[in-house]
Amino acid sequence: MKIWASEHIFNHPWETVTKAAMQKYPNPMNPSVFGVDVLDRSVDTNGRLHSTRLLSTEWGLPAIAKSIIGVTRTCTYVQEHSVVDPKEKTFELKSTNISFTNLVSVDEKLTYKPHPQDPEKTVLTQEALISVKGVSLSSYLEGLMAKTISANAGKGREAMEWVIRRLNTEIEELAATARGTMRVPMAAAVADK
Amino acid sequence: LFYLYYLFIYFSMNSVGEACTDLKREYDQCFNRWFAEKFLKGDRNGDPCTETFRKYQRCVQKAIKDKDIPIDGVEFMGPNKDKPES
Repeated sequence: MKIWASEHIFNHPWETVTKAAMQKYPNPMNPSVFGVDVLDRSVDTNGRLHSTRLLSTEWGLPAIAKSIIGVTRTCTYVQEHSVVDPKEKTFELKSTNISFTNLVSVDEKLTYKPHPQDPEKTVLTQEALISVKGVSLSSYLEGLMAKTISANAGKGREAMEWVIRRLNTEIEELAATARGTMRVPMAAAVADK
Repeated sequence: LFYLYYLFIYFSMNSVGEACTDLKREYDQCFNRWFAEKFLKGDRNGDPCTETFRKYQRCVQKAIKDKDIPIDGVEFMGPNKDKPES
């Protein structure tokens, strides 16, 4: 069993980060995530939004995998439960793999909260619990997975910055279109596509 | 606004059920707007997205069953079942 944890500060207020985290996919840093579906969503009696989502990811495996398991692309699924508390300003996400549960268990928890000293900043705490089952090299494999999670966490934070920039651009372009100044260059951009 | 339509499509995610992607995007658009403009601002006046969510859900539930995806403990699947071997 391996535990990994990290903390990161975003220079954006909690609402901005939460909106971006809700729309994290697609982004160029996580190209293997090909599907996100909401399975259930509700607001509880305390005004908190609960969401259950299914993330579908596809991994390209090395050619040798084809001779062993018969496929070179494999879909893995992750189930995520999240809670947004708009009064307390917390966004907590918990996810676990639902594929290959007989081989490995990866549980992740992410929490976004306003920075206690600076309300224009947001703190993300991230933890992962990894368990590889029934393999004698388990602690080595767990170490490898922890390194991958750590590298991916960096990508995840880049992804968040990318989504925040994208959302801000969309808002600016909406405003510009409303002012009627972008009609001509946009027609040209569409023609290009 | 025509341009924004292309921007929206380019930056959208797919559904696990390919046939559900359009329904998913329609729901996501409704939800993201409600989430940002109402929910996060403390407006508790009901959810305008229940109808689009219902349509999207019917499609996704079917895709999950067809693809045999081992969803755990989600109400619409009925009583909890053990995690199957994958």
